[in-house]
Amino acid sequence: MIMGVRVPPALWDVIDPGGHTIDPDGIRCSECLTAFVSDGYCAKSRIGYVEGRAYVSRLSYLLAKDGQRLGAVPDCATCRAHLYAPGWCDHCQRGIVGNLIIQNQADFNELFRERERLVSAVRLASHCDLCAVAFFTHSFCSRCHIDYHDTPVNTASIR
Amino acid sequence: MHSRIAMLSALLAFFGAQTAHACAHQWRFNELFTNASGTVQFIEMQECCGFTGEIFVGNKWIRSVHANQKFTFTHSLSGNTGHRYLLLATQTFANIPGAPAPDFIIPNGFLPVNGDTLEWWMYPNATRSYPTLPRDGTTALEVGPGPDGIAGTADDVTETAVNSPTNFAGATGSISVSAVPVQPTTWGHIKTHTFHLP
Repeated sequence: MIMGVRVPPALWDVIDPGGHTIDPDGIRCSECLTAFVSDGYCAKSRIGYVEGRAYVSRLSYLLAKDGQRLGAVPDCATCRAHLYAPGWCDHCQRGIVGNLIIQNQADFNELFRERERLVSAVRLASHCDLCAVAFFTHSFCSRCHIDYHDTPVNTASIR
Repeated sequence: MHSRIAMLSALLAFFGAQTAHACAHQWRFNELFTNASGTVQFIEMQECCGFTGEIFVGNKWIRSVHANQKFTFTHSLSGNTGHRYLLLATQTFANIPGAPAPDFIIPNGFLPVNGDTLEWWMYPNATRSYPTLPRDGTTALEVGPGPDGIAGTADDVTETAVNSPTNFAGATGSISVSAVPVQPTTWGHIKTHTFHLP
């Protein structure tokens, strides 16, 4: 499960929420070095760094940086409602997505969009796992010859 | 009551154990080589970015998109993978004295010589297109991803150089297959036949 979405293995592998150990001496990209010391994200190499671990997708990076596990059912009714449908609680000043609390609203908004994309990708996976990965990563499915570079998420189809 | 049960179910789903999956994202195509006939070929890959645990290559595959040929890795690796190499080569390559031992054997002619796009499993950052390969028996095509570690971007390397295959253990070398003479089979047959005349 990623943000409350059951993700098939291929997609999980590509998103890779667990992160990786990395040898800092092996980092050759200068932007990555900056990101490594500041828990930042290198858009050029598409790698984010949090507490010395490397994350190979923007989604996994944001989850590692901002996601705090929800320890118990929230007392706040709005927050409780967001257990079913992700959303931002103005009263508690936090977002809830899946089993995670996100304190930063900008990051929450980005994670929310990523989650919508993930839900659509999971639906595609029932037809073609390569399409699912290509859709989520804005790339090309060489099996079905479909280019997903600029394919928007059809939010109308997402609950 | 129903809402409490529903919430419990939702929480169970949310807090359920997460499955660990094996990853090998950071391998990139680095050097491609073929001889004229396609019997001696190698594909060298390299871990791009200093990731130390990219060992789970087993059951993942590389594929040439247009030729639609796929090779599935037979086993995973062990040890630190940071900036290490992987060597996939034909058996004929492996038989050349002094050639570094391939980590995996690919079929003859696996690598399309007139250019293609190579995919490393479903990792989009590794997908690499390449032009026609040199076939002089010594020159390889360097196709590394450049400093950003992402294939298919502006800083990709695409240049020819003397081949320098390197395997996971770090053994390296250079082969020359241009000087291998064609075996004069017809002449040999006649000669043998002649010697056996009564």
